[in-house]
Amino acid sequence: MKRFACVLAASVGAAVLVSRAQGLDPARLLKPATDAWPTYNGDYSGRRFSTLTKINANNIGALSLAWVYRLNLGGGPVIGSSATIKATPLMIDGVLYFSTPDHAWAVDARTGREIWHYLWKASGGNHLANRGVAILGDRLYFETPDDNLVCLNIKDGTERWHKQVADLDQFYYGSVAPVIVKNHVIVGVSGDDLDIPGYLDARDPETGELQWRWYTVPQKKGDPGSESWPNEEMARHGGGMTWQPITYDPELNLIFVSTGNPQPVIAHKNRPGNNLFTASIVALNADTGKMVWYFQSSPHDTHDFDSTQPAVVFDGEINGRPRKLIAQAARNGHFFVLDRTDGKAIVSAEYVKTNWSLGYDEKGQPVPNPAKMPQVDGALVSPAAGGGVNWQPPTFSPATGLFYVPAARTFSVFYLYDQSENPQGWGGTDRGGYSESVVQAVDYKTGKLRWSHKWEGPARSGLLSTAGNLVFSAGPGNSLVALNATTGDALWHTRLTAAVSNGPITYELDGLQYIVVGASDMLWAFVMNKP
Amino acid sequence: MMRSTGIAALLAGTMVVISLGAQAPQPPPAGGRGTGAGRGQTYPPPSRGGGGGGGAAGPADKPLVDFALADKGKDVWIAECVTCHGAQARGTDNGPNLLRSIVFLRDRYGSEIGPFLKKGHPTQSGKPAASLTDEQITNISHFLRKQLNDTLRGAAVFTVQDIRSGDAKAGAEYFNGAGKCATCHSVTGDLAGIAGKYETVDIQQRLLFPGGGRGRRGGPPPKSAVRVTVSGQDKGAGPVSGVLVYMDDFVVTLQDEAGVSRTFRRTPALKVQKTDPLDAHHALLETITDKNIHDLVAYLETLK
Repeated sequence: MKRFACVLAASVGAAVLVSRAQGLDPARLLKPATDAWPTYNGDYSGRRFSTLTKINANNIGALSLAWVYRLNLGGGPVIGSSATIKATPLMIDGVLYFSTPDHAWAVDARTGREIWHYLWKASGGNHLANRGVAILGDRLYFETPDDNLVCLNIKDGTERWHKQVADLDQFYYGSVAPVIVKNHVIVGVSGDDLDIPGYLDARDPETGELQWRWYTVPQKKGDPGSESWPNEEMARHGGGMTWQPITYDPELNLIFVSTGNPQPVIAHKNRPGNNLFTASIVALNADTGKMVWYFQSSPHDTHDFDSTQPAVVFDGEINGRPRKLIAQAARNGHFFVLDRTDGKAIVSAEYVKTNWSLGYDEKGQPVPNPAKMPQVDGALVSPAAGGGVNWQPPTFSPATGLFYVPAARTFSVFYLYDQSENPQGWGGTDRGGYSESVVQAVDYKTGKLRWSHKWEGPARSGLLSTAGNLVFSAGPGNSLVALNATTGDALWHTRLTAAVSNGPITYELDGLQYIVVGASDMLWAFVMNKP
Repeated sequence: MMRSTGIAALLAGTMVVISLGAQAPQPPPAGGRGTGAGRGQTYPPPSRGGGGGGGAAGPADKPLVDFALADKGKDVWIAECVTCHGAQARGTDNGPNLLRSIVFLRDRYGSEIGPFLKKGHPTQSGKPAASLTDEQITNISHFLRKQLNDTLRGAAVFTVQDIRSGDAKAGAEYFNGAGKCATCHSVTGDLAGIAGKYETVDIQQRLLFPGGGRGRRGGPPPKSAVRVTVSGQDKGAGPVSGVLVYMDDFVVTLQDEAGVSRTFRRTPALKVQKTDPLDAHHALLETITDKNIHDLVAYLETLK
C-alpha cells in the first residue's frame, strides 16, 4: 500500500491542515466502518445503516452545519447532470470522493475544502447521472457518459488509465458507481434507448482489462433464460441494464445484481415470455460471473419498472429460524424478502398499493395483468413508470428490523404508440401523473408496514438509518429531515438551497459524527458538536 | 485530457465525412431540438438517451438527420433494399434488422455502410451495390438514421394514437352516476365546448390528473387551490383560514383573506384542517376503471 502525506495550506486565515491519506485497505471493505464510508452503500450489504450513535433521536435538535461545498467544474460545461450530485460520496481517511458526469472530486471531510478536481472531456453520451466512485488502495474508479472506466490516483486526482467498457454507438452510457470485490472492479452499464443487451463486467483493478462478463439476457439459443424469449434475435437485444451498484456477500462469495427493463420497453408484442433475466435480482459467483440463482421482480415488464433497486443483504429471523436474507423494494411497488443462498422468496408484499398485477406466482413473483399493460387508448396504472421507488437507495436498520423505502404512491396512463408487429426502442410511454411521497417502514418478517410517513409535498432521496434511532431523508421544500426510526415522527429538519439529490451518509472523525448530503451542486455537512 | 484512440479515430472519421461538404448537415438552430423537425430540417436524435443526453449537437455519438437527404435515401431504399430489410429497416424473413446492425450504428453519413456496400451486396434491381454513388450512400445513411431516431422517445412519430374507444352513452351515465362528476361539473357550464378546447388525450389526462394551474403566483387563487384552517395556535386566538402556500412537518404557511402570508409552527396544539377541492379527483384514481375513463372521454368529446 502506498502511503503518502500531503500538506495543504488553506488560503486565507485558515490553519494549516495536515491530511494523511493511506488509501483503502481492501480488508476494510469487509467490516462495517464508523470512520469511513468506503463503498457506494457504506458497506457491501446495501443497508446504509450506521452503528454510530453520537447523533441520535435525543440530541438531533443540536445538529450544526459544519461546512458547505459548491461544485467547481473546473471550466467544464454544464451538461445534463454534470452539476448535480447524485453520487453517494465515499469517505476514506478524512477525504470525501465523489463524481458527477465527466467530473470527480476529492474534498476534505472535516472542512469541505476541495483537494482536487478531475475533468473528463466526454465525446458525447448521456449525462443523466453518475452514482459515484469506487476505491481500492490508492486508486479511484468511475464511469463516464461515453463509456469509459477511468482510474485516478486518490492522492492528486491524476489519471492512471482509462478503458472503454461499452459502445457509445449502441447508446450505452456509464452512470453506475463501480464496486470493488476482491481483485475485481465490478462495472455496470446504462442505456435503454436502443434494443441492446445489458451486462455486468468484472475488470482488473490494475489495467481495466475484462476478467468476466455476465450478460443479463441470453446471447445465443440454449443459454439460460432462452426459453423466456421468442427467439435468439429478441433475446440478444433484450435490454436489462445494470444501473445499480451491486451488493455482495463475502461468505457466500455472491454478487447480487439487480437488472433493468426489457427492450422494447413499452411496446412488447415481439417479446412474449418472461424475458429473463431482465427486471430481476441475480446472484453471481464473484470470481467467475456465473449465475447461481435469480428471482424476477417484474416478469415480462411492460412499464419500465426495471428491478434496479438495491438488493439489501442482512441476516434475520424468520419463524424463529436464523436466515441469510436479501430484500428489495422494487420499482413496481412490491417488496420481496428472499433466502440469499438460493433466491427462494420468503415474503412478497406491496409496500405501496398497486393495480398492475394479479397476485403472485408459485415463486412469489408478481403476475402481470394483461389489461394493465400499455394500451392504445391508455391504461391507468399504479405505480407510474417513475415507480413506487426509483434509483434512490433504501435503508435497513438491524436495530429496528425495519426496511425503509423512499416511496411514492403514483399513477399515470400507459399508452401504446407503436402497434406494429416488430416494435423497437420504446414504442409507447406513460403520461401525466399523480404522486404522493412517503417513507414506508416495512417489517421484513411480514412485509407489512410498521409506519408510513407521508410528506406534504414532493420528496424523494436516498435514505440513511443509524443506531441513533434515526432515518435521514429528503423532505418537501428542499429540506433534509430526521425521522424517528421507530415511530416515523419527524424530529428535525433544515432547509437546503435545493432538493436532496443523493443519499445521505455518516461517519465519525476526531470523535465527531457527521452527516453529509448532496443537494444539486452543493454538498452539505452537518456535525454534532455537543458532547 | 488524452482520449481513447478508438474514439479519437471515430471523431477524426466523422470530421472527414463532414468536411466532404454538400451532404454534411448543419447543426440545428438553438432551441430547435427535436420538436421542430420537419422536412428539410436537420435535428439531433430526440431521445434523452445515448444520442440525446443534453449536450451540444454534433459530437461523435450524435449524427444528425437531414430530412431532405433522408427522403432521397428513401427512394434508393425502395428501389434496392426494402424487399429484404423492410420499410422501416427492421428486417424481414429475408434480411436482418439494420437498426440493430453494428455496421450501421457505427456509421456516420456513409462512413461504414459505404465501404460495406462497395465490397458487394445483393440489391433488388440486381445492379452491383458498388455502383451506388457516394451521394446515394450518404442519403441511405440519413434514411436509416431517421428510422432509428423514430424509435426514440421524443421523435415526431413518438406520439399518442387514436385513443377514442369509449361509449359516449355509458360515459354520460358514469358522469351523472357512479363517477359523481356532476356534483361539481356541468356539461352546459364549466365543461361546455371542452371538446373544442383540448385534444382528446388532454381531456383524458385532465380528468385524471387535474390541477396543473394550481399555486401560480399573483392574481386570485384558482378554484382548485388548497385551503387550510389552523387553530389552537395561541390561547384565545381564533381559527385562521386561507390558501395553503406551504406545509411540511414543522411549519404551515397560508395566505389569508387580506392577502397576508402567515406562518405557524406546527406544534401538537396546532390543529391544521386541509381542504383540497381536487380530493374527489384523487379518490377517483382508486376506483375508476379504464372502461370508465374511455367512456367518459367519449362523452366529453361530444361537448363541441
